Amino acid sequence: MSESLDPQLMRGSLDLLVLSVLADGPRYGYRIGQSLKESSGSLVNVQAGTLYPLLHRLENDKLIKASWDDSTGRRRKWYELTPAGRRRLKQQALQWQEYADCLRRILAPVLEPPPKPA
Amino acid sequence: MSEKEFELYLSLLSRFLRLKPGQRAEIADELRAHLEERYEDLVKSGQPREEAIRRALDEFGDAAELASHFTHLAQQRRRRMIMRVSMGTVAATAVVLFVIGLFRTPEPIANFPEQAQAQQDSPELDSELDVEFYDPGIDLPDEPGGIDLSQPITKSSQIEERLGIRLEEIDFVDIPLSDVLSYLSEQIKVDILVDTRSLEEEGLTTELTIDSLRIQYANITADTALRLILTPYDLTFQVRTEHIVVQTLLTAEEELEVAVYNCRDLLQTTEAAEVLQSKKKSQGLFSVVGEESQSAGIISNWPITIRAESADSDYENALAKQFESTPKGPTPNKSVALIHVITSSTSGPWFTEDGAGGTIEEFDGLLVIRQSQAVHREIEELLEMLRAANQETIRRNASVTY
Repeated sequence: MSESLDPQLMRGSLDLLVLSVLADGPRYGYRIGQSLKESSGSLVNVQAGTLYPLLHRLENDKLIKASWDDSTGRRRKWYELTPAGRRRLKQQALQWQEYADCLRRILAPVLEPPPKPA
Repeated sequence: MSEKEFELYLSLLSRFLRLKPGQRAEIADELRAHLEERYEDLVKSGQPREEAIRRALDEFGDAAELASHFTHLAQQRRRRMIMRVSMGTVAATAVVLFVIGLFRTPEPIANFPEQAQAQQDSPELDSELDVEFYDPGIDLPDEPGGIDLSQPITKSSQIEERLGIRLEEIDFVDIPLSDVLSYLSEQIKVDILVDTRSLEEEGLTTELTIDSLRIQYANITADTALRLILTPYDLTFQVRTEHIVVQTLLTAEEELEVAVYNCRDLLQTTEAAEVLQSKKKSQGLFSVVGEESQSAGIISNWPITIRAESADSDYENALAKQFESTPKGPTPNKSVALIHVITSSTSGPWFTEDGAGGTIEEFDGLLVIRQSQAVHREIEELLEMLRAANQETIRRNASVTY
């Protein structure tokens, strides 16, 4: 098993992944990266240099909104989904599901015979 | 407890950011929090201090490149702002034109000084909301020049007036619809009720949060604000005699109401045009342009055509005089054409077989229209456009009535 997914492969779906992390509630940048890593079993490892421009872009597009919080002693910028972001997430999740199903069907013959899990 | 290396990286990055100092500081703050937390985690997992700092910084990559990403994004945001501001300028121009229009109106209503005062006050921002708004369409029933032809005659015109009140600033960011509406309601001193059942049918409640609406540059009317807020959710509003109802577009389409539009000016003008045309034709002066007028759809082109052709001003004056002495009623042809224009350029539905669509009838130059409020608004706009195109002829009519 590969250590982490090819960034090239994830490119089109990164927005969706970040939005999906925020579906569980507000998070700040570092936590978003960590959550993605945890929920993907370390397969998805978004570099900080990619993550923050992406967050700012989603904020520009009003899919997420940010607020500052100083209460923990460290000044952090928290992000949360806007209603538009929630709609986009749902819509894109459906599309990706379809795409993934389609890929699986197309690629199944390539991997034949399927190795039986022990 | 920020590490020296982190501060160096952040100040380098800041130098590359072509942004305002405040924006630069925010980006630095955000990244600093990340670097520090990442560093702590790495140290906790057993990394040596130096290695932890190096890895935390590596993950951000080249400072110049990262800065260019942020700068680019901020510029994108600014461009959108500029677009919004220039739209505001258009609105501001409209305000100016409106005000100019106000100073022109007192003349025809000079016979009613006490009301003229009220009318001048009503659109002002700081006007007392308790003023009885003066509505020429209602208060001056049988005065020939006093009727404001551009307004349909309905009972709810007072609320319509208040919807014209300009709001100084709007800044809604993720505020529930119910709060937004109660704010607007306060501003215009009109009750705004929500047809919750109609919303529920679409799976909506008044707790739905309005994405964001931030309008600080120009004074938009309450009417525009409401539309901006409601349209994204397929909602709309209806004006009732004492309040405003917010409901879904679907429900609104089913609720039809009757309004009467005084279109005598439009109908007569086009007839005047016809007379002009036929006379000129008989004199052999008229060209192909005139022939097209037989088809109903191009009525709005008419005044333009005439202006282009009316080199003979003596003739026009004579014509105007003729109308002065024998004002004629609208001919059936013209009203059929106007009805056709209205039904084909508004969204309808019109005359559906199940009887659910709107209806439109002409009576002595008055159009009696049964439609949803949304379509009524479209009709008003359409008539306004027709009248604007018709201005030349309207002026002549004015000289008839005064």
